[in-house]
Amino acid sequence: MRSTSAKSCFVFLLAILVSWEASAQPTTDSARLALYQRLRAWRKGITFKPYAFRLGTDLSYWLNGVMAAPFGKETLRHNLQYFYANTRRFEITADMAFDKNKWFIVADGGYSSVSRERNQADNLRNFHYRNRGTYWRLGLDYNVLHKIFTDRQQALLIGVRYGRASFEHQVTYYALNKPWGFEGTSTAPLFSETILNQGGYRWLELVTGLRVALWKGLYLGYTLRAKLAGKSIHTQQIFPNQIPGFGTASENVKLSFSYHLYYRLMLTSKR
Amino acid sequence: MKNFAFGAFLTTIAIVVSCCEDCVFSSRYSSEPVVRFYRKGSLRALPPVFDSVQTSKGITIYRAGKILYNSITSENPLPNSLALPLDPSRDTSAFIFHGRRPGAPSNAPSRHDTLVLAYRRKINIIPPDCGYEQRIENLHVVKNPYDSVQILAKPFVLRTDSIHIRLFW
Repeated sequence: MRSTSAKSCFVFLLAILVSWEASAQPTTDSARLALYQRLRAWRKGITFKPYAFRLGTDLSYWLNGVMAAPFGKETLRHNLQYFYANTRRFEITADMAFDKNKWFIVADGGYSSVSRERNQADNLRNFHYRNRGTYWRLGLDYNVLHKIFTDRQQALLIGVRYGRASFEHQVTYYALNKPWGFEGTSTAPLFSETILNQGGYRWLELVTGLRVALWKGLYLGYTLRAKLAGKSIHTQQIFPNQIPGFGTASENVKLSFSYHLYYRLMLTSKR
Repeated sequence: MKNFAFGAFLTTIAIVVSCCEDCVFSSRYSSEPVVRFYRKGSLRALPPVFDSVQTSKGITIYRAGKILYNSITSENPLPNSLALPLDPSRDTSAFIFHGRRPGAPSNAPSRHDTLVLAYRRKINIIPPDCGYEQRIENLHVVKNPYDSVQILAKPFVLRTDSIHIRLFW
């Protein structure tokens, strides 16, 4: 039953391979023919049989707060309190290994709530920003050391992800603008406005990571992500700042680390 | 092999150090479009010798060529131009120019010309907690007392652009 449902998951991948094969067939070019034959041999070598299922959670929310605290502007305790009071994240991640421990289909889903503010005495550009939303990622990993890790437990992975987030964000900002009567005094207070927008974001990730067996079915892992800035959906008056699952949207390529704790369930009795 | 994998895992974690983000921030966007005045058929900028310029709230921002408010733009004025600070609370701003038009003969009558600009305000938060920048998008003139207008600020009003609006009469 498990095998049947998992096989149906790979129909998409098979369709890509078949269409690739079809496009390669009409040509008589020898290089293309050789490529086609190699591709066919490679495809025959893959066993689309689920091997193991792994379910885990991302620990980076907890670790990042601790690692960033010594570098903050205030005391260690204050920095820790500030981070965990203003940032909340939770992520569940799952992968299914097939073709022994060689290929993995990966799915992540999570929730993020982030608050940021600037509240300085200079009254210039003070704001309060809040972003709340959910996200998911879907992708494929390849274990580049599947021949070396013969115990079929560890994995050094490279892969890709497609991510999508939907969120609600709100900003309250203050402006000192004397030409329009906003002088920051009791009679002429600062200009203040609150804007609430819904938004969405989609992006691509190139990932690499390691998975190691800790004890029995428990696994530890990390994923280094190169997040390629994507496209905002429904951006209105506020540009997205903290995007669930993506992070700060200020760079074209954003690097980030995720640390995972997994439990692996074998789907076959054969090692 | 398991020990190698576990060692590689711990080593990688150890070398990952969080970075501090500093608040060095200078926005390339401006909310003060710079205006220059021309006679029709000429591209020689004329000195804006108005008696005064007021916002529609009645606050004077220029008097006899002297700037009466502080901002990055007003502190670095371009010759023969006026920076017009936009109203942060709405998507239109009106400015009243009192006095002779630029380039008008000295015996020309004094005028009260009202220029109304419309635009879209967008807010961008600067990470991590540096503040925000206001981006002015789709600037256009909805009431023009002069003969014609040329908007150079498209799609945003950028600080790096020298002139954003040309007014001809």
